Amino acid sequence: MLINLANKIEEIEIVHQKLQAYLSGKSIDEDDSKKISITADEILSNIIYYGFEDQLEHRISLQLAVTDQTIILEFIDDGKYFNPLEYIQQNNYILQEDKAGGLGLGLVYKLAKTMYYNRIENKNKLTLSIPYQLSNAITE
Amino acid sequence: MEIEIKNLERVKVIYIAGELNAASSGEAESKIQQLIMGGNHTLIINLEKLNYISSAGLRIFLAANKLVKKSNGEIRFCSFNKTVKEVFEISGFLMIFKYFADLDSAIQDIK
Repeated sequence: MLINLANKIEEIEIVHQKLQAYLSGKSIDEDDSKKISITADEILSNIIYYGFEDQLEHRISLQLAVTDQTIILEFIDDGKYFNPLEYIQQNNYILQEDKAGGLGLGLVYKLAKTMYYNRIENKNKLTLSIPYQLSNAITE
Repeated sequence: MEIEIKNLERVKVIYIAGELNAASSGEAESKIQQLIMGGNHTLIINLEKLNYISSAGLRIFLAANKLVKKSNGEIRFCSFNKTVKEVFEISGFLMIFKYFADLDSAIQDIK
């Protein structure tokens, strides 16, 4: 599934609804669906709030693919260079009571099984995988 | 997102239901801050009916915690669903805040 959105924070709610409908249609476990939505929410809000230095409208794409054990999310934006992995490593994310910065990326880092970043043709491309179970899966 | 506040004898209980994300956290933050500024520094936040929380939602609890601590107050949480509890765990919030399985246990802790 491909979702295209503008760099407007209100568009995240539409993405959230599209994701939930799509994942429910694929019988993905509800808790895992929420984790996928949280991941998309954090990455997209980070791009929208901090990714662009002008006031112009930009397009962001989110491609979703369901494999046997993981959901792959690929985010592409034409904002300034930002490698979330470098940010997480440099900031050695540990929650502090008086400092909320980096909370969202720290959350994504822990929810994702894998995380890859590439800068291609002046665009940020971030690919994440998140494990899931099917909603009718029987756990032992 | 819906937020409701109930008065108990020595504590205010804040019930937050629905989704706490970038779009809805502003309203919740403003209601919690009003409560704290009104002199209520011992709070229980019941998240039994909260389905979804992102970092924007988590941040309002950090801000509220900072405010109540100035008056030696404390925020306790109770009744998470599975996903919300996991978000609290992995983000480190359960090391900062007290969490109770139900409201009665949270009230008992205050007494």
